[in-house]
Formats: sequence, structure tokens, C-alpha cells
Amino acid sequence: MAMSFNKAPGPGETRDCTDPWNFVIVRSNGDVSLCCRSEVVGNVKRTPLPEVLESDQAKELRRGVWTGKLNYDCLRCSERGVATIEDLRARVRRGVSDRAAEEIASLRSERHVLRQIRSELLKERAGLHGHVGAIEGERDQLGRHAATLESELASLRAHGEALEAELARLREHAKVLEAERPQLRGHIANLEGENAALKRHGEALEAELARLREHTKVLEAERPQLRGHIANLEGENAALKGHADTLERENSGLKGHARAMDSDARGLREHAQALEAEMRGVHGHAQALEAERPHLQGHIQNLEREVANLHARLEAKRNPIKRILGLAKPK
Amino acid sequence: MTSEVDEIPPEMLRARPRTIYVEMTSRCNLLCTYCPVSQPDYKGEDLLMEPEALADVLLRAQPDEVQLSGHGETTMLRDWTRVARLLLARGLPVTITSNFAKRFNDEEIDTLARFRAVKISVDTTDADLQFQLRRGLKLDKLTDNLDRLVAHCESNFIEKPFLHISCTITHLNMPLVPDLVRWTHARKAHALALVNLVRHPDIEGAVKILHPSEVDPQGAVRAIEEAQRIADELGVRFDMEPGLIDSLEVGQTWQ
Repeated sequence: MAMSFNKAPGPGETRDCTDPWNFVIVRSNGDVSLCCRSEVVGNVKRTPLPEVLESDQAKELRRGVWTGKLNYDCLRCSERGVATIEDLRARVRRGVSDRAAEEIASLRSERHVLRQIRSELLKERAGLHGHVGAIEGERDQLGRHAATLESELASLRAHGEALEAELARLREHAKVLEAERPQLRGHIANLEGENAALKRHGEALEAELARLREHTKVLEAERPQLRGHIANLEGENAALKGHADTLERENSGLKGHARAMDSDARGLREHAQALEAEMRGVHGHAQALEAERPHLQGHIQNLEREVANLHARLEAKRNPIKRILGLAKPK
Repeated sequence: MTSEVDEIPPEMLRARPRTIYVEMTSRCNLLCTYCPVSQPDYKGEDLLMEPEALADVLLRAQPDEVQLSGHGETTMLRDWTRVARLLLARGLPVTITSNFAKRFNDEEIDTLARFRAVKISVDTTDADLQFQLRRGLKLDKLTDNLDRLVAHCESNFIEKPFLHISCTITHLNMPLVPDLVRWTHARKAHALALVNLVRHPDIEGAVKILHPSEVDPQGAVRAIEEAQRIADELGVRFDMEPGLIDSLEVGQTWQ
């Protein structure tokens, strides 16, 4: 069981509540109650709502609050406070009388107009928001421009002060120049003298220039002839270059031939050297043989003598035998 | 027997409905500790009524306010914006009470921006306590939704709906009400309203909550006075149910 916390009406009092007249709740199952906590007075699934609201049960609930003879739900109501019966009845009368209904209808009509006005005002507000945004943008831009101008003004003031200082300095400089003027005049006279001398020098140079120009004309006149001569020389030069190239080529051939002949000569020289070396060997050998010849001839002679001796000896020996054998020839 | 005092003129028994709540659903995406939706035997359902028919019923009554709320969370419904836009298109002054627990898409934000008033349930600026009391509500997500709604109105020059912060008072969040006033102002909401607690049976596993009158009624009154002072300074409208003050002064308990 739920517990409620409130204050119960005393004698002459009732619940300070006009819900039974003004309030309806249609539950999800179709039940209809005249406040969130009171009993059901009908069901819209079975009975149209206007009939439910004028049902005996609904009227009984109103009667209870009107008289202060509250049912249990109203007694334990935790939401509403307590009022005297008279006060409650006065409020109900204001709420349900025809005059009140007319006032309500009038107020509703007025409310409708006010809502239309409010809608227009909302649109206007939206427009003003845009305008304010533009003005704020412009203000920001002007603020930036003002800041730029301030900065420029400060800069110009500083420039003015700088110019004043420069003017004062120039005045001082002018005084110095005034003081220097006589000296400068003398200097100017010198410069003018120098200038006259330079003019004369210039005139001399002009004359020299004219002479050189004349000479240039002569040279210009000679130029075509020199050009023809140059062309001839260039032709000759080209022919000589051709001839030189031919000679170069022949030279190159001869050099090759010379290199071959050098090579052959080197071969022949080497062969000759070898022959000479061989000849020297043969000569040496011949000389050795010639040197050996007397010795050999002596040796031959010795040998011939030896042979003769031997022959003699042999004969000597032979003769006895032959004589023995009878073979000895008569001497 | 009825006395003369009890007599009531017949015209005084007629209904003049100014505020009509339409409970689009009694299901909710949160299980707040103090809400009957969190009770174990609670069952929710969706309103089965064609939007056109609903609009016809409401137009005949000519109310000053049509609030698309009840016990449940209307923004849970897939096509809630379609219904809301249809009612708005018919000229009905639509309002809503929402927990802002889910992240709204741009179309939902734009729909909320067209409402006459949006009441958002926020109990405290302490994110952890909020999470305990509301069992799943993340304060940063709620804040982001609210900030996006305000920004959408401002950037599109739409008149902001009347933004009402609704705080159900318990002994846990009562001391932080002054902070909630500052938070309300910081979020550019118009008003903060304190709702008197109806204490339902404790929920297993949930933080236990008590009515401030059960713990420290004088402290609660001081917190309310401080909150009122700050609200006056900041220009935030500060409302509370009369029953809350009565309960702190008298402390009458009903079961």
C-alpha cells in the first residue's frame, strides 16, 4: 500500500483542487480519471468522453470537493493543499460560469491574436538578428579602420616632428653654407677657369675627332679592296691547306714505308752482325788452325820420321825372318 | 440527507476541461524507485486509438493543454512524433512530460521544439544518485538532449517551449535541491517544480527512499527556502506542490 504525506482538511475546509472540473486523464486502456490519483469515472472505449465527464461518478467526485465530504483518494492526496470550502467554491464558480466561459473564449481569442503577433515578432527578431549581425560586422570593420587611422595619425605626427627636426637642421646647415659662400665663390671662379680650359681641350678633341673621322672614311673606302684581297688570300690559303693535306698523306705513307725499311734494315744488320760474328769465329778457328799447322806439320814430320823409323825397324825385323823363310829379296 | 450548504447548483457540476492528459502508453523505459510503474504487479500497455480519432475527441473539448503523458514514457513509442505532429497540425496545444532518458534524434528534437511546454523529470544533479533513484537514467544523456533542444530552438528562431524541470522529493535528494535550481538555470529551463513523494512499497534491490518528513522535515524546509532564494536571484520559477509544504509542516501520513 502506498503511503501519502500531507495535511487533511479540517472542519469547513476541503481539498484545494479544481481538477474534477478542469482536468482529465485518459489512460492507455481507455479509463478516464479526473486527476492522476483518483478513481476511474468511465472509459472512452465504451462511452464518449463528454458523457464520461458528465457521468454520475464524475459529478459525485465534484460534489465531494464542493462540500468537503472527500472520498479517500482526495483525503490522502499528496499534491494539493487545503482551502476553505467557500474559497474553493468561489474558484470553481469562476472556472465554470458562463461568464467565465465567455471570458475564457475572449481570452483564447486574444491569445490567438497575441500568438500571431508573437509569430510576426519572432520573424522580425530573426530579421533584426541578421541586421544586428551586419551592423556588428560593420562596427568591427569601422573599429579596425579607426584603429588604422589612429595609427596613421600617430605616424604622421611622428613624421611631422621628424620634418621639424630636419628643417631646424637644414637651417643650421644653411647658416654654415652662408659662411662658406665667399670661399665657394672663389672656388667657383677657379672651377670656371678650369671649365674654360676643359672647353678648349674639348674643342681640340673635337678637331682630332673630325680628322679621325676623315681617316675613317679613307679606310672605309679601302675596305672593299682589302676584302677582295683577303678573299684571294683565303682562296690561296684553302688551296695550300689542300696541298698540305696531300703532302701530309704522302708523308704519312712514306713514313710507313720508311718504318718497314727500317725494320728490314734492322733485320739485315742483325743478320750481317751474326755473319760477321760467325766469320770472326771462322777466322779465329782458321787462325787457330794456322797456328796449329806448324805444330801439326812438325808432328807430321815426326810421325813421318817415326813411320820411317818404324818402317826401318820393321824391315829390319822382317829381313831375318824372310831370310829364314827364304823370302828375302835380294838386296 | 443533503444540507443546504451541500447543495450544488447543477451548472457547478459541469466539467470545463482545460487540461487533458492522454496516456499514450503506460510502459516505461525506466524503473524509478518512487513510481508505481516499478511495482512488481504493474503491467503497462499502449493506447489503441487512431490519432485522427484522438484529435477529434480533443478538439471537441477545446482544452488549454493536451499533455501526451501518463505513467509511461511516450517517447518510447515508435511513431510518437507522427501522433504529436498530427495533433500540432490540428492546432492543439500539445505538451509532454518525459524522462529524456533515450537520446533523441533530430526529428524528435524538432517535434519537442514545437510543443507548448516540455516537463522533464530530473531529481538531482548528482549523477550517481540520479542513476540509483531512476534506475538507469544517465544524467549526461538527459542533459545533452535538453541542451540540443534549446540550441535547436535558438538556432531556428523557434520560441522555446516552456521548460519545466520536475523533481520528486525524497530524503536523499532533498539537500541538493538548491543545486538543481542552478542546474535548471544553466540549462536555460524556465521553472523547477518539486513533487511530493507518494511512497510505494520498497523495491527489492533498489535504494530505499523515505519522505523528507520522515527524516528531517526542518532540514527539508531550509533546503526549500535556500532553493527559493537562489531561484529568485537567477530568475527561475520555483514551484512546489502545496501538499509537500503541508506534509513538512504537519507530517500527516496516509496508507
